[in-house]
Amino acid sequence: MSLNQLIQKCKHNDTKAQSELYKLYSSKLFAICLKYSRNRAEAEDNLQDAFLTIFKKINQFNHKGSFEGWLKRVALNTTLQRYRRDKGVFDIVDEDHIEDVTIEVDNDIVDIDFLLNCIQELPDRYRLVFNLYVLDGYSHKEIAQMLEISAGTSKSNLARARMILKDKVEQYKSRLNSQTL
Amino acid sequence: MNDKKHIDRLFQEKLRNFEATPSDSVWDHISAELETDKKRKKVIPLWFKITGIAATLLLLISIGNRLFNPAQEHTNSTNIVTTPSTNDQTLPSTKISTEGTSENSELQTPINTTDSHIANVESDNTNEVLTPKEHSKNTSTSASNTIAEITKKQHTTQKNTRTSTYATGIHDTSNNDPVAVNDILKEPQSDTNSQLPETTHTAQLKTHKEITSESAIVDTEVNALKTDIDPSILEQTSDSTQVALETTEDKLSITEELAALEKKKAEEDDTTKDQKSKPENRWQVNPNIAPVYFNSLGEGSSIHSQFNANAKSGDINMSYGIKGSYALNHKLSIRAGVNSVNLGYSTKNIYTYNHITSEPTINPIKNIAFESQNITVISGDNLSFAQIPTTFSNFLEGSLDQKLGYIEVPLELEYKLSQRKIGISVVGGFSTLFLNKNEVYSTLDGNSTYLGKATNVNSTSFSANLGIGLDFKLSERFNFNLEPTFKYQLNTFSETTGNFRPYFVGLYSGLSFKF
Repeated sequence: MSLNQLIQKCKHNDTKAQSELYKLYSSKLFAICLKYSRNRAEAEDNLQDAFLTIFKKINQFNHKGSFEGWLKRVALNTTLQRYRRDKGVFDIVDEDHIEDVTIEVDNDIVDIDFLLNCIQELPDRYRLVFNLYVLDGYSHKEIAQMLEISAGTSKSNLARARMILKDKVEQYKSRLNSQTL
Repeated sequence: MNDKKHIDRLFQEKLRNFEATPSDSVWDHISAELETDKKRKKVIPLWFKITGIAATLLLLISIGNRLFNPAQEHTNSTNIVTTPSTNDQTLPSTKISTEGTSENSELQTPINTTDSHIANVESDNTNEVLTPKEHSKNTSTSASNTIAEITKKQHTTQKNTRTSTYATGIHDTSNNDPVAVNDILKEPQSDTNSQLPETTHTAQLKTHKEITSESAIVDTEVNALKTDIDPSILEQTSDSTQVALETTEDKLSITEELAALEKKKAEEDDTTKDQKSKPENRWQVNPNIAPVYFNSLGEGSSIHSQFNANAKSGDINMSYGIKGSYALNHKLSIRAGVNSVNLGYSTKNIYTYNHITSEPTINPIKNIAFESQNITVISGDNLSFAQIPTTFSNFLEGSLDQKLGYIEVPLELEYKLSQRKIGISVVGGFSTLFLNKNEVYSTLDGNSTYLGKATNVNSTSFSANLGIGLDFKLSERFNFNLEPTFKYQLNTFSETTGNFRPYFVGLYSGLSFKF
């Protein structure tokens, strides 16, 4: 069955096709949800909501862009929608304050789960900004629109996020070193 | 191999193209939700149909009533009776024979002929009386049947959801699946799940069982996929250019979609708020008042067969009272109350006069216990006095007015169809009516005289009720209600003639208070 056929069947609420679509894309979309959510459980909730939205709105997919891109957008939107309202974090970081955020890394030591955990532990806004800017290549202007914040806030959030992440990776490394020593 | 690199780069390399397998329960929830969506789509039109039927029924009844009671236009120019006073013994003869066209003896004959006429009509109608009665019985039972059906349906749907939750409860514990159990436990805490109405929750659980077998297959397949993909992750081909292209393409419409999604969420929040506020405030009191219009469906009379063909017009009276309701769940509530209701209708073209002689003569109206002995009530149709002066006859208009008062105790079920700002619901049930007023008046040319009581009115009777309720939300606790209701009376009269099937329609309005 071609992808287009699968999409057509999903548009007609075919249960089997829906299951097939889930099988094809769930792991890719789950990765997005994991990056943007606080933890695995919330990521799963978001993934569930994302797929429900996908099946509800699949009729609106017009085959113009890539289907996978559309799916990822829905997943991202669903997750963003949940966290961007969180205004719990407020801090002012001097935008021009430039700190050295380079780090010495032994490539093999740092594993995905640890990095993912670091991101997930960030305050909501920092996590969103960091992900959008660093991992998904959005500009500060775009992020500002998406999260309903100012571009300046986006920049300072990113700077804070980088510092926190650097601290965490360094702590992790020193812990590893002390264990091995 | 230590080298300095930017913190961004570290995360980009590792997290850009990774994939992860969600737990099986995610798909279980999704498919359960999809299933309930499909069911919901089927259920709603059914209720729309029922309300549609109720609405057309009301419409047809009101139209039918107009069509089958065309007698409003009856003229009484030819059939006019004189109302001689008891003292004036000589008056009739002189008055009636004014024009000299008829003999003096005419006066006595008309009364005699009408007597026989009444007798005839009575005997004619004995046969007829049976059929209309049966007919009315049939319709009334069918009406109550449909109501019974509706309540039964509501019952069974409730039962179904209940049993399904039981089943899943057993399933979950017997399964010993820690993930599933955890999921169920955490559900109330997470935002998205609390957004779902409770009913879908239970339904979700219901399908859980059906899907486990299917999800097992999904699971193995997903695992297979995972093993396929894992090496590719490790390869870490950071084709960042491709990703960048894709993301820029994706970015454009993202803000639009975000706005739409937020709107949707706000809506959902509203609806969930509505639904959530319900179980906290299960009780509701509702004082109400209504104009009620009383009339009969068929042609007939509750008083005497000779009036069957006479035009009748219902009176508009008031009903007022108080209702209390208890919400069984989000959709269904049961309610009871007490209302005082006055009903009345008048039969046109009826003339009442006192006898000239005091001897108990023809008094064929058995259904009225007259206050005074010498009263004769007669339909204008049965009198024809050619000798009556037309000038005199044009001014006289007689009617017989029956007034009934009840204490009404309704017991009804209310099913909510919509719970937005304006709530819509269907109401069905029955009322017990206790008679507390029973009067018959004669009106002649605008002057009413109390005649007596109707003897064929049952002291306790019932009605089958069907209504559509509209709720306008004023605040969290106060609602303004408007409820047009049709009440078909079941055994108001012990004996009626013709096809007399009384009903009343009320437009109930009131304020309700939740607590």
